[in-house]
This record gives sequence, structure tokens and C-alpha cells, in this order.
Amino acid sequence: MKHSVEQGDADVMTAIEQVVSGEFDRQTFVKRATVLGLSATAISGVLAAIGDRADAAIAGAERQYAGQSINLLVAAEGDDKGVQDKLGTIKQRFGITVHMTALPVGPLLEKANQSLKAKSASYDAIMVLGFSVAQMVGGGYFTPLNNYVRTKAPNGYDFADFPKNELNYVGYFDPKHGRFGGKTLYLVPGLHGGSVVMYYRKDLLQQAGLTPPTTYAGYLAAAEKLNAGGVAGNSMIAKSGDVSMFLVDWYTRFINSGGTLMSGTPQAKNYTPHLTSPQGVAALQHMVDCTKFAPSGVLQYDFTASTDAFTAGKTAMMLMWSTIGGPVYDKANSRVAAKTGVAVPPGKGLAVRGGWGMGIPRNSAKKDAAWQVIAYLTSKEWERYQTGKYQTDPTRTSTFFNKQLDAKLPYLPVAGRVFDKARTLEIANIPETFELITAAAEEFSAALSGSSSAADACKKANDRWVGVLKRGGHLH
Amino acid sequence: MAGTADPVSERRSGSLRAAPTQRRGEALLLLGPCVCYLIVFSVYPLVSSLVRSFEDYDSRRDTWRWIGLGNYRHLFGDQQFWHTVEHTAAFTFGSVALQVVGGVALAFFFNQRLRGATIVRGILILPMLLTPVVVGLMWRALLNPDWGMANWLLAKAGHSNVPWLSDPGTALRTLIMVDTWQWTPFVFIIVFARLQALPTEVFEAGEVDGAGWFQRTRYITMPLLLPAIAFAAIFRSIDAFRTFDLVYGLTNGGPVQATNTLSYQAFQNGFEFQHYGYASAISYVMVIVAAIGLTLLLRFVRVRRVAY
Repeated sequence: MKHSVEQGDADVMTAIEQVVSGEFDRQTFVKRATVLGLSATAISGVLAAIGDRADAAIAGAERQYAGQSINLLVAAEGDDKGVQDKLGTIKQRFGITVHMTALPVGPLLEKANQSLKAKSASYDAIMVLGFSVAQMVGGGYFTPLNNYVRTKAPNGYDFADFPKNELNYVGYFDPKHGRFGGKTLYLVPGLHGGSVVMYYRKDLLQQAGLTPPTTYAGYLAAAEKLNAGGVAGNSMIAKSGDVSMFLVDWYTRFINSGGTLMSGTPQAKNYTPHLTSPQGVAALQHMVDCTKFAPSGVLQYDFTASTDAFTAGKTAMMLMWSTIGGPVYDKANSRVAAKTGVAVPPGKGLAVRGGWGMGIPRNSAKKDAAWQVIAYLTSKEWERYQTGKYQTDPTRTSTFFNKQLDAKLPYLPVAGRVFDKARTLEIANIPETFELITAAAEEFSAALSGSSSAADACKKANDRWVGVLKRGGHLH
Repeated sequence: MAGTADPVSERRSGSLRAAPTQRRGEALLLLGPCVCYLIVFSVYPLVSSLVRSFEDYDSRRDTWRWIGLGNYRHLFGDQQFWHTVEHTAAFTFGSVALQVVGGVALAFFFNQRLRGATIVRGILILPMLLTPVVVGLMWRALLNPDWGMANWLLAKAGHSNVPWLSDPGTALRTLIMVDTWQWTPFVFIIVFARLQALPTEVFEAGEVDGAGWFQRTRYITMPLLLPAIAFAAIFRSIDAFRTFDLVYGLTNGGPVQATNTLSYQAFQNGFEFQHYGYASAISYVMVIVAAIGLTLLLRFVRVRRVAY
């Protein structure tokens, strides 16, 4: 009995030492002390007594990689601005110097792939696009993060705040079977998420006596009616080969009409595309019909051009990445900031799941320092700053539904709802994702330009997909 | 005399006798760096990519698998590849033909020694000083259907918008037009330089013999200019055949692959889709076609010094 009392005292002393040294954060200490049977009064007394020392210890723990420098590769999609703003904070708080490279998606994939396959890493932390997770993480190039999250996450990191579906997309991966999900965490969602929402001009719809369309027939009718007075009824991403044309405009129409993109599985080698399904052709035909009420240059619109046209007040509606469209609410740069409404996509409110994850390459020599920077850049603190200032989509539920941010950016809760039930693109689990999307977006542009029918364009795209899938060994 | 050798020639022959080892050393020293450079930067990549063209890369496992002629079989059986060959050929012949005609015409025009010609000539060659990818981006803005200057001017003249880059039927022509804008000055400079250097005597003789302007041009100027024109055309053909940056900056191969060239297809397969073996096969086909084309061109159009 005496032994166990002494043992209990020793355990309490150890716990106190651990919180003083910073090995335990306050929360962990409270849990441990409760298990050891300390009263609430005693726990608060200990915490009050060690207050400053614990803070100092935590500060000490935060600076344990001080003096190191890491190379960070991020997407130049607005995230880089928030990172740039906080490089000084990172240096001051953690003592880590961050050298950031920000690139558009294409060059980023190139650089990341080169770095991942080299003997030593050029980048210690890399932002990975969801559609390239299968290729990059599936190749075994990233460090598992389970232990980092469990033992090295900072106070209040709140990992459970990331939506489960997003974690199963840009977080957990099963390289052995080439599947999303599983138990091993390779990436932490960030630096931005995103899905597709419908932006519309509240004032124009009101003048025309319309409510935001909830069906695609309604969308087309509204586009026709709103196509007046120098404002185009709608815009879209229609540039040939642009992956967002497929993901934002075609796929949103397709899944909301009940379309199923693939059947079978790559593993069973019967992975079959259904671009020629009635829903597939109808989705493209709807886009073709919508081009009649779109700006004259819509066939060259990428997502920037489409957003810019809307921001300049030249178009009345658009389906757009929520993370790209956010700046339409930026009063300093948008002519329609106060006139814009946002709604879930017509139909079932479904959209493709977008977003990125941050991970540490296996070949990085500074994994711990990289983790500390990743943990900061995926924290609530940074994400709220980034979303508020640069209107990129967050990944954390608490940021989507943050009252202060929602008042400033009314699209956020809508984007959050779509994000929550967004669908992972069926072909995102094979390395040929980009090749397939590009092929479809190239063929679809033939229909949009009027040089082919929607059915023919879908057939050609489907044939190309079959070729790529066969070549990749996913279809016999 | 047989016993008396000239000391100078003896020294010379002596040095020649001593040469093999010594000169081989010198030769190795002088040629070594160049040979090493060629081996490292030309021979090795060529051989390596040739080997890669017989392999397939698995990006997930980061492994290479020998597939023999698989990439080439797939390439020649792929309709897209043949479309790309057509586009590349149309682009090469179209742009080079226009550049040669335009360049020669400009050379004749500026050979008139008009007032202010020097300044205009200087301005004229500016486009070729620009990087092609910048030219692509610049023209993309000029041809923007919403706010580009080209359609604005057409609208001022009462014409409707032209889908310069968004219509599969016009995009390749637009690409040829932009390339012609950039590289006609190159042909012009070469032909003009040659024109300026032509001997006046033959023209004077022609005049004395009663040859008119057309006859002098047809029978004297053009034959004398032909080597320069052929040189410019061959040089431009090689360049146009491997055009990548203009396509990358202006059209990204679209719409519907209407402006996809072999170089762009190789880039896309290699760096976007990670089909490195397939991209190597495309590159090798390009090398072979370029080598055959160049040999034939040099055989039929001789670039040689002309004796007057």
C-alpha cells in the first residue's frame, strides 16, 4: 500500500516535471493529473504555480529547431501570400527560416516530382494537390505523420477539426492498395481546400424577377433572361484542355444529374469510363447551350478569366471553385462585392472535392522542423488569417463556420456545406488523372466551339480514356 | 648532297618524328574538354533517351520496365500522333514559306536605299529579339476575344470578332501568323546582307546586254541569292519543326489539339503525364525526321559559295 502511494506521488511529480519542462502541454497534464487522482483544485494550483515557467518551457519547446532553415514548395494560388506575410512570425516564434517557392499547379507538379525522386530533397515540405495524391503519396515518397500529430502537434491544434472526408482525400492514403483512406496519415489538409459553388448577381436576378436556379434547366433559362444590357447571362471555363473545364463545369453538371463516371476498379482491371452516358452527353450539351449566353471570348476562359469577368460585372452567373471565386467579395478589387450571392450548385448541391495537403518528403533531412512549420501553416490561427485576408477556401470546419469570417465572406458557410459532402473524383486514385482530365477537356472544347456535337465529343473523349486506361493497366 | 642534310629541314623532320607522342598529348589536351563536354551533354543524353524510348516508366514505383518497341508501336498506332505530325508539317511549311517570301520581299524593298530605311530596318528586327514564349503571351493578349487589340480593330472596321485561338480551324493559322511575324526579320536580315554584298559588275553587264529589271532579277539576282535563301529556309525549318515555346505560350496545343506540335506532345507526355519513355520515343522520331529532312534539303538545295 505504502509502495503504491509512493509510486503515485512519484507519478505526480513526474507529471509536474513534464509540464514544467514542456514535455507535457497543459491539456495533457490535466488529463494525466486527473488519471492520477489529483483534485481540480490541486491541478489548478499546480498550473497556477508553474504558469510562467510552463509558458517559457513551451516557448522553449517551440524553438527547439531554431537555427534551421527549410525549403517550402506551395501553390501560387493565393496561399503563398499568407505564407509570405507570416515568414517573419515563423522566424520569430520558431527560429526557423523558411525559403518559399510558389508555383502554378503544372510547374509545381514537375518540381515536386523531381524533388521527391532525388536522393536528397530540394523541398522539406510540399503542398500536394488532391488529384496528384495517388501519384505522389502512392509512390511512397512521403513521411507518415501519425506520430507527429499524436506527439508533436502544438497546443490547441485540434486535428479533429479537419472534415473526415477531406482527411480521407488529402490525408490518409493506402499506398499498398493505391486507395484513398486507410490508417496512415501522409498529408495534413491545407493550405487551402475548395469545392464548387454557384456565384450569381443578386441585383440582376432580382431585377429579372428570378431566384437562384436550383436546376440546370432553370440555370439555362436564367442565363438567357439575364443575357442583356452588356452583361452575359453566364460564364464558364471553356478553354481547351483546361482541367477546370472538366472539373468545375462538366463534372458538376454531370454528378448533379446522377451521372456515374466510372465502373469497375483499377485493381480488377475493369475500370470503365462512362463519358458517353446520357448524363455525360447532357452535361456537355448544357454547357454548349450556355455558351450562347456567355461572353464572346468564353472559349478562351480559364478560371481566372471567368472570375475576372464576373468581378468586373460582365457576367451574371458562374459555377466556380469556391476558393478562386472568393475574391469577388473583396470590396477593394471587385465591382460586384456587395451584389454577389452564392448558392450550392443546381441539382443535388454536389461538386467535386478539391483541395491540397501538406506533407514532408521522405528524403527531407529536416523533418521535425518541417513539421513545425506545417503545423503552424495548417493551424486555425494561420487559416483564419489567410481566409480573411486572401479569401482562399479553408479546410477546417471551424473556419468555414466562423461567425466573424462569415460576416465578411458570406460565401463561406455555403462553400463549407458543399465541401462537407463534396465527392472525390473517381479517377483521382490512379496516376493518369491529369492525362484523362486533359483529354476530356480537349475533346469537349470541340463541342463548345461548334466543330463537333456533344455526343461525338463525349465519344472521342471516352475513346481516349479507354486508351489511357488500357495503357496504364487499369482496363483490359 | 645525299650526305649533307639541310639543318632546318632536319630540325623540321626531327620535330615531326618526335611529334606522334608529343602531339597526341597536345591534341588530347586541346580536344579533351570538348570531347568530354560532348560526351556528357550530348552523347550520354542521346544514348540514355534512346534506351528510355524502349522502356516504360511507372511513376508510383519509380521503376523502368523494358518494353522493346512498345512505345514506338503505340506511337505509330496512335491517331493523335499522326494528327500532330500533320500539324507540325503544316506549321513548318506554312510558316517557313511565308517567312521566306516575306523576308525576300522586304530585302528587295529595303535594297532601294529609301530615306529612313535604317530606322525602319532597326524596328523591323525587334520581334526576333523577343523570347518566343513572351511573344506567345503577348499575342495571346492582343488576340483576346474580349479586350484584345486585334478584334477591337476589326470591330472598328465593321467586322465581327474572329476566334483567333479558340476555333480549331483558325488556331493553327494564327500560330503560323505569329511565328511569321516574329521570324520574317531573320530571313530578311540574311537575304538583305547577301543582297548588299552582290557584285555590281554582273548587273552592269546585264544592263549593257539589255536585260530589264525582271530579267536581271530572274537570271542574276535570284541565282546569286539562292544560297542565302536556302540557308535561311533550312535554319528556319529546323527551328519551326521543333517549335515548342510559342505553342506553350500561345495555345497550349489547343483547341482540341489543333496546334499540338511534336515538341509540345513530347513535353506534355514527359513532364505533365510522366510517360518519359513515350516522350523519348516521340523525340527520337523527331530526330530521325529532322535528320532525313535536312539531308534531303541539303542534297537538293546546295548552300555553297558562288563564283562570279
